[in-house]
This record gives sequence, structure tokens and C-alpha cells, in this order.
Amino acid sequence: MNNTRKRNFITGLLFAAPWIIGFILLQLYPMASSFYYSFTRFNIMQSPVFIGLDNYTDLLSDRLFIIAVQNTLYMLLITMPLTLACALGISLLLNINKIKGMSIYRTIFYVPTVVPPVALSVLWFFILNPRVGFINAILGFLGLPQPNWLSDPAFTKPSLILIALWTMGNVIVIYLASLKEIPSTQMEAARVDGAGSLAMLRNIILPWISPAILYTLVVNTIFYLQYFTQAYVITSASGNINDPSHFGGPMNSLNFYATYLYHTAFVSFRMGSASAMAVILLFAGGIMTFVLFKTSRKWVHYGGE
Amino acid sequence: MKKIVMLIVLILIFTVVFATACDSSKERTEVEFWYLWGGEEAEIVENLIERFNESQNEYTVVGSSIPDVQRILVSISAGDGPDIAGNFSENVASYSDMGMIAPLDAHMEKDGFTFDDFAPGIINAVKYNGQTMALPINLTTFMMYVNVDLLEAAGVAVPKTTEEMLDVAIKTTSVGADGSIEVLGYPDFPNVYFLDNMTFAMGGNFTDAAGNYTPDNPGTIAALTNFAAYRQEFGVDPILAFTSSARYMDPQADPFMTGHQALRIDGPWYSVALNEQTDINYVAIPLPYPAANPEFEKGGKVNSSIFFIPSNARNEDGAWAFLNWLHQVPQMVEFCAGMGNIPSRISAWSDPAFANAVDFAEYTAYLGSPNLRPMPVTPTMTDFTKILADFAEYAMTLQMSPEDAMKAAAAEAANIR
Amino acid sequence: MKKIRISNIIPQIALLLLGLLFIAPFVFMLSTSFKLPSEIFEMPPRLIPRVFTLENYAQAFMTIPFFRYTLNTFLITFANVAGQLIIAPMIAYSLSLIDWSGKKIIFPLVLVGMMIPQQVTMIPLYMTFFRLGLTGSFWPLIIPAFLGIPSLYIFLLRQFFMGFPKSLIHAAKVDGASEIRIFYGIVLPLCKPALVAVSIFTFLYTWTDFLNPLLYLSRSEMYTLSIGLQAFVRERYVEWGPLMAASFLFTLPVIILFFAAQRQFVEGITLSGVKS
Repeated sequence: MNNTRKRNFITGLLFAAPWIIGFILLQLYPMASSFYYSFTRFNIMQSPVFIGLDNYTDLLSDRLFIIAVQNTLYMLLITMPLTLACALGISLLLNINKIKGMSIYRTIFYVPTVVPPVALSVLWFFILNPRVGFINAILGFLGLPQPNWLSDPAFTKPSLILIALWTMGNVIVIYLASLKEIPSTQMEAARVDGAGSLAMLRNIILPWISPAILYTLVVNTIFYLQYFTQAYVITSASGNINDPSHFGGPMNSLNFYATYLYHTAFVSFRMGSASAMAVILLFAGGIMTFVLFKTSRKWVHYGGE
Repeated sequence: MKKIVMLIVLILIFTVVFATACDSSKERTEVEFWYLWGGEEAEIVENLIERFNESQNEYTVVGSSIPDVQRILVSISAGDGPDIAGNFSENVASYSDMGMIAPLDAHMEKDGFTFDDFAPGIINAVKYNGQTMALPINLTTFMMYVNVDLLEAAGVAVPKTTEEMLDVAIKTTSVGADGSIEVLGYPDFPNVYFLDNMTFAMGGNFTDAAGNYTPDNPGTIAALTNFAAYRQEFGVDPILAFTSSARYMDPQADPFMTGHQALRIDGPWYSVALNEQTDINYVAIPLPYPAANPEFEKGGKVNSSIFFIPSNARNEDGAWAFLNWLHQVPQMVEFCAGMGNIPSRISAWSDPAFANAVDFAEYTAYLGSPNLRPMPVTPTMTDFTKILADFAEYAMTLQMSPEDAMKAAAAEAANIR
Repeated sequence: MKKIRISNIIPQIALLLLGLLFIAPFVFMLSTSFKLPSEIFEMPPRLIPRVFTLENYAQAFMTIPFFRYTLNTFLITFANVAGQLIIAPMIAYSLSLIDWSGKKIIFPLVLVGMMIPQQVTMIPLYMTFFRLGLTGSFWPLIIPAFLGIPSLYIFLLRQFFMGFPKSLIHAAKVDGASEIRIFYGIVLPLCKPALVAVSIFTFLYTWTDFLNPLLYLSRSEMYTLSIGLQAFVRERYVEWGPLMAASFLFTLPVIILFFAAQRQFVEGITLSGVKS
């Protein structure tokens, strides 16, 4: 038996070898390096100089860093719940029996998610333009106020919410699949008992799909912590003139954690400070994921109750 | 299964080899030149490059239009940059401080290149710690463009003082029935050209004698106060709605070019665009000064497009050969005349190519003014401009008074490292 | 829910409206790409252009070196798909169907690796590639796939393999087959749907990737479509028509891929979402 175990171990190791190399080279070592660099000051052309905790304390009093954190929290606490809730709503609608053309709808809702984020941002940059975009045209037609979506600081993040809503298709697909797994017998029994829709939602549907909800929560949290492309493309699109200090959008409303990190590292060339930001991000992400999983015990039911 | 895997690997190797072969290593005499211009302006650059290549046998300059300052920086820092990069004089200090630029003094001495013929105001802007770090090809300063017809229709004269500027702007603004602005009176677009220029025009300075940043100087505050007064009159939102659909130098969407802007602050290239693409009846006048301080007249910002050789350039000699050639009078004239720029060599000003250049006389007359100043030569300019822009925005959107905004900016600027 | 039709009408109408809203951006992208500039600025915007023109597409091809960028993007994407297809199944297999103690340590690490934000490793990775002299080339965009990164696909395949009928493997082992033979001869051939899903998602992710090309590609000859499109929109003269045309061309391959492999897309997503 010992020989088989040994042989299995070596085979397992061999098969997993590429990942082991990859993990050490591309994940473990870089994380450790980020940690190291965060205690130094360096731009890429000169060697790192050790400065202790200075990067971290500087960040605490860095106005732009604080704004970046606030904006990112906005996405996590407003955009994400809104998007997930709407996705759930649409999934519930689609799940109703005898809805005609369900697979067509599913396609319609899903296709936006395969659109490349850059093309997406460019398209919405056009749609939200106060002069040629159709959003304001529709609003005008309905007699509603037509905001400057991408230049009014109060409307820049709502613009991103619109984009997020348009690309919630993969969440819809996941919730739909999850809903379809609820045994119809349960639903029937509840209805026979005279349960209303709201009660059914709370007592049967939500518990049954709670694992899927947890999954989408975790995945989207990670996504919004790294939120970069849409913000970057839209900000750079609105800049008319080649002005390097022009970033962050109107009143820094589009200054997100990932974009500020990128800017600090590759525009200001403050790699040390950017590394400190990366380390903070790692811990924040870890804590958030941990909290999500820990609290999930209270509301997630695997395999239905 | 195995066969498919083998096939995939083979195709993969083939495509990778193909890809790397496509960007094969350069010959020894190639000089890579990345410039920021695009479109028609890029053609002017390429013509010059072609002439240089034909005029000698040692070097082949290869030009690329890369209108993205960031990208160029990243490439240079990655060791994958060009031999010559174009940029602006404001950034010379910070790039030098980062160790990104190769000093030019040794090359200049070897070839007898001096700054004797150059406009004195710009020479300091390309030096850092006593070394010459870049060459300025042109001089840029900004003037006020005035739509004569709009002023006539409103019955106002061309403004000389900043008080008159505000008055003219208010009187020439027209608002439509739905409350939206149809004609913008003030030089509120493009926003970025306003503050720096008007600060100097109103006698301000961004640093003090000791080198501290002083965004709260009287000139800046006065400029912001004037700006805010206009926005107070017509409301921030309607103005933002107007400017957000404007596109700079697009003949169909640039408000001054379509006759929907009365006053405008812009540079010499704008004269070229106005003349070639529109029929707007305009004049270019010096920026206004405060009525109480006529000694500040003809003030403004001066800067220049510069070229530098990255410190890790592969072909420094070739880069210098081209730059030297480019900055001689005939080439400088060809470059600047085509782009609508003012050459940095004073002797070039009398070249016949500029005899008919639009507004050339106005600009060169202006350039003699002692009140034209460059931005401070400090390595942390980018940080400062960001702070200045951020807090100026608060003042411009009427969320803070100009004094409070600039005091806050000064406090933050004091912490820049 | 066998209720009478009437109470289905409200959801149907709601879905119809939502569906229209979701399609609208696409419609406008397409219709704008075929409009003349004068028509684009018309308010309110017309759905069907009065004059149908291909001029915008021509412009897009002239301003952006479209063919070159597509070739670059395709090269990188193909390399990534190949890399993941070769590597990910191996690793997933070791984490599921090989009986060894290491997998208890590695699998959690794979999960952790999936949750690390890109920015955390971005700078040191850049520095590593920089020291190796690989920045400015395609290599930093290709090498990770050959080491199983991103590890999402390892996770997906592992979940899939866990459901593989162990009896088949037992039988082969009794016959004296080695792990390698079992893997390549028995398991992989029966996992084509999962492999297809991995290919599709790798293609999607790499084709649309922006951050990595942004970091590592500096010369415009090497740009991918995502960078090319972003550069196009950033420059001074923004022409909406060519911009929409270019966006559409960039999106087209993935839309075609989606319609060709719709089922696998949905299966792949539900596999990850429902079965974790």
C-alpha cells in the first residue's frame, strides 16, 4: 500500500506541477513582493529605498486615496446590491411558467455580458452623451430632466450603474438555473396551503437559491474591488486634451481604487505607494470574503434546508 | 487526443515564431521617434523625417504617432521606449528627477549647438539642475480670441481689462427659451487653458521665492473670482450642459468655430484651424489685465513642445543627430509654419514662411512681453497641477469660494513630497 | 402555476419592455455605424438611417490598423486557449481523480488564487517581466495561461471531474493502466463539453482583456483590439460613426461565438454558479 501511495503522490505532483510553478511565480512571489515594495519608495528606474510605514501613513491622509475608497465602496454597497436584486427580479419573472420565448429573453439578457468591456464603455459613452445619445432623447421625449451623465459628478456613478445593470446577464442565468432546481412539489404544496407570493419568496425560493446568491455576492465583490476597465475607458474618453493630471473624472467621481492604484504606479511612478494600496486591497478583499462566508452560515441552505 | 494536442502545440509554436518575427530587432542605425501629434500635423513631422533620412547615410529615423503621454512614459520606464520622445516643457523637471532623461550638454558642445538664438524665456524651462535636458521646438503662449460679430451685435467693445471681459461675456451670452445656453460669452471652454494663463495675466505666480507652492496667490484667486462670477450669472448646470457636448477643434462641435462662443483663450494652432476650416470673423488680442493693475498687461503662460532623449535610449547619437538637424532654422521653420506654431529661435521669426502666417505678428509681438512666464520648474508639477485643478473645480462649480478653495489647495500642496 | 392567462400578462409586458430596453443599445450601435455624420447628430435619433452608408466602417479600417490588431488579439487569444486546454485539465485531474494528499493543500490555494484582485500582483509581475526583458512583448500575456493562471478553469474542470464515474477508472486501473493513460485515454475524451466550455470562456476573457495588454504592450503595432479601440476613442477627433463601427467589429466575434455555442455558455456558467 505504501508503494501505491508514494506512486500516487508523485503522479499527483507531476500533474499539478505547472500550477505549482504558476502559483509560486505568478501569485505567491508577487504577493510577497508587493508586501516588500509597500515599505519602500521607488520608481521603476531607480532602486527601492526602504521607508518603513511611510507609504501607509501617507495614504491615510491622501485625499485622493480616501475618495477612491469611497467611490469603490459606493460600487460595493449601492451598485452591487441593486444589480443583484434586479437580476433576481428578472429571473423570477422569467421563471414564471408559460412565459413565451424564455430562451430568447435569456439570450437578450445575456449577450451584453460577452461584449468586451472596452466596447461596452465606448458604446455607453455614446449612448449617454447629452447631445447624440438616445438616453437623453428618450428622457426628453418623456418630458423628464436630461442630466449630463458623464460630466455631472452626481451622475457619473449612476451611469456606471446603468452599465452594470445592462451586463447583469450572467447573474440572471445563474439565478434562473438555480430557480429551476426548486422542486415544483414544494411550490405546489405551499400554494395549496394558501401561501402568498411574498411568503413563498421568503420561505421557499430564497432559501433554495441562497447558495447561488452567495456565489454571486462573492464573485461580484471581487469584481468591484478590482473595477477598472469601464472607469478607465470612460474617464479617458471624456478627456479632450492630453492632460496627465486629468484623471478621476469630474470632481474625482470616477476615481476608483484600481484606477488610482494604476495611476499611482504607472503615471506617477510611485510603485511603493501603489504596492501599499495593493496590500490594503488584498486584506480588504480577504476580510470581505471571509465575512461573507462566515455570515453565510446563517442564511445559506445547501441542498434545500 | 494526443494528436490534437501535438497539433495545437505545433500551431502554437508556429504562431509565436511568426509573431516574434514580425517585430524583429532593429538595425543599428535606426532611431525611434515617438511624437504626440496625429492626423495632418503628423504628416508634417513625417515629411521632415523623410527629408532627414534622405539627407544623410548614417541614421534612419522611424516615426510613430503615439498621442498618449502615459503610454510613452510606461514604455520608457519598461526599457521599451523610443530614442526620442516628444512632450511639454512643464514635465521636464519631473522626468529628469526620475532619471528618465539623458542630458544633452555633451552633444551640444560637440556640435557647437547653443541657445543664443533662442527666446530667453524658454531656456530655463528645459534645464534641470543646470543641465540641458530637452530642446524646445516652439513657443506656445495663449491669446484671447474674440468673435467680432457677436460683440458687435451685443454692442460691446473688445475687452482690455478683466472687468470688461466679464461684462462682455455676460452681454454676449444668449439663453434659449428652454433655459439652455445658445451662445457662450466667457472663455469657459476649453476649461484647462483658463486658470494657468489668467493667473499670470492677473499678476499671480504659483511658487514663491523660496520655491513653495502658492496656489492661493492673488492672481489665481482673482481669476477664479472672475470665472465664478460668470457662472453665478448663468448657472453652473446650463454651462456644463453646453460645454459637455462641445468637442475641441472639431469644426462642427467646437463652439467658437461654430460661432457660438464670444471669447476664447487658445494658442497659435487655433488660428490656423479657424482660418482653414471656418469663416469666423475674429481677432486675437492679448489676455486682459485687472483694471487696477495695468502693469500686469500682456501677461500669460508660455511653454513649449519639447523633445528629449530617454536615458535608456538605444541610439543616443542618432537621436541627437536628428534633434540637432530638426532645430536648425530651416527645419524649425518648416515644422512651425506647418503646425501654426511660433518657432523658438528668434531669427526664424523673420522667415518669409511666416509672412502670411495667421496672427503671427500678434503672437510674436506678445512674446516680447516681460509678463509671460513659464510654469514653475519643479519635479512635482503633476501632483501640483492635479491639486490645483481639483480645488479650482470646487471654486468653478461654486461649491467653495475661490479664497477657501485655494487655501485648501495650498495646505495640500505643502505636503507634496 | 397553472393560473389563468391574464395574470401572466403583466410579467409578459414587463419582460417585453425590459427586453426592448436591453436590445436598444445594440440597435443604436448598429444603426449609428451605418449613418452619415449629419444624421448621427440629428435629434431625436432615427432608428433606421435615411442614407445607409458603409463609410464609417471604411474610416474605422483606415484610422485603426484593424487587421493588425485583430491578428494580434487572435494570436494571444489562441495561445491562451491552447495553454489552458493543455494545462488546466491536468491540474484539475490531479485535484480530483488522483488519490494523493497534496490535493487537500492545493485545492484551497486554487480557490484563494481565484479571489486575489489583479492589482495585488500587478506591479511585481510587471517588475518580474521587466527584469526578464519581456515587457513590450506578447509573452507576459501568454505565459500565465501555460501555468494554469487564471485558475478559474482549474476549478471548473475539477468540479466537473468530481462527477466522473469512478467505476471506469477503477476498471482501467485493474487492467494495469497508468494514470497518464487513464487521463488521456478515458477521462479527457469523455469530458469534451467541459473542455469546450473552458475554451469558450478563455477565448472570451482573453479577447476582451484590457488591463494586461495596457500594461505590457507599448508599441502600437502590437496593440490588441481592446487597446486599439480605447486609443481611438481617446483621441481628439471623436467620430461617432467610425467609433460605433469599430466597437461593433470588435464585439462581433464574441457574439458569433456565443450564438454558435449558446448551450455551452449557459452550461459553463451554471456549472460554476450552481455547483459551487
